[in-house]
Amino acid sequence: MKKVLPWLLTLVLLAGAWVLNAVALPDGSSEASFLTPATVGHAATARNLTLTVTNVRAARSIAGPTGKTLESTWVVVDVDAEALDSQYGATLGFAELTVGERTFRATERIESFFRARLVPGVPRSGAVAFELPSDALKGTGTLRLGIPSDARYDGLVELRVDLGDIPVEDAITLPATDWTRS
Amino acid sequence: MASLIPTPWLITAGGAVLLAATAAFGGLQTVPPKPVPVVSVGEQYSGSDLEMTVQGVELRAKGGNAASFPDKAKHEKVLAVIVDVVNTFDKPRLASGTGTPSPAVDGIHVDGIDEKPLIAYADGSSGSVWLQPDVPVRLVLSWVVGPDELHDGDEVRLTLPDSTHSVGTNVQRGVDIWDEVVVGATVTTTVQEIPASDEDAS
Repeated sequence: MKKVLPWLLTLVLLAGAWVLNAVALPDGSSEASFLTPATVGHAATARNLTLTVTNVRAARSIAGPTGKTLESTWVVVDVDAEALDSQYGATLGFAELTVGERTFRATERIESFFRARLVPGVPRSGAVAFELPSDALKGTGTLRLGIPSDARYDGLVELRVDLGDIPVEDAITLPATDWTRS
Repeated sequence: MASLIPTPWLITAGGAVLLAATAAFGGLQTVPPKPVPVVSVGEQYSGSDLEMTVQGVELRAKGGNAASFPDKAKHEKVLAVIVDVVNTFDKPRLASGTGTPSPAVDGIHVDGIDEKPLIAYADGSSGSVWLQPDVPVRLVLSWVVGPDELHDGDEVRLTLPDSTHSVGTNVQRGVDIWDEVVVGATVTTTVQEIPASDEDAS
């Protein structure tokens, strides 16, 4: 018995360490964003934000409300969004599209819904645009939208988008950011 | 048995081999620093996870598409460096970096000018300049210079930054940091003066 006990104890401790290692979340998980999964056409809520992605489009050229045109490869995301509790600090401040290893941030080169102010109770609508390299329109993209510019500890809405399925239009004119009419 | 192994001799021999090997690689002589690569205008340079291609250096009477605005009354001019940039990192990055020297695009330095340049999109796009992964973009770096600092045909030497990427820990956990900024390459070219009348036309 005296000989077996240390071995048993060793096995128990090793097994315990293995379980602890297996269930422990990766480093930095304590500050990870709270993700709300969403689909196109359905509303989703993340902390002080409710939004609906109404459409995802792609084009070789986009034009802003002022008529400025930019040639590149663009993914255009149409969004209806409103704040929930407070309009203070409420802007669509986070918009990222991850395709494979690469992450893209919504463009600021043209006037869009990105970083537009949101108001509780009155939905606004507009579009954010992502500039991609010409070879990136394939596979599945992960779209994340939210209020914070720094997404740690904060809520984001997450959508999966099949980029290979989107027809590529020649040109899209971004809708002017406006109060949602519905 | 142990006394049969000539330990002191072995140590001496080992030391001699070590010294000989060190001497063979130059001993205690100071090593000349690696020459900084020279690239020419239109030639691509990679450093700081960026691909930078200097396209030209212009001296403008007006700002044009640059972010600098010269004071007309003081006859100031704008020195503009046109550069094509591709971010080869897999996340978006600001073209302007923190610290001096900067590891980002504003780390491009013109000899004789201490300030960091202002950065604008060459096509006149507004907003802060974010470099999206693998998306090429043409930028205009600019400085305001005095009326007699530079002239058409003057030779200028630019330095392009290189740096080491690391990911932060603790309070900076997950933050991408480019530091240990060094001069990665130099470009020597001549300044081309753009008269004010031409700028109006274009």
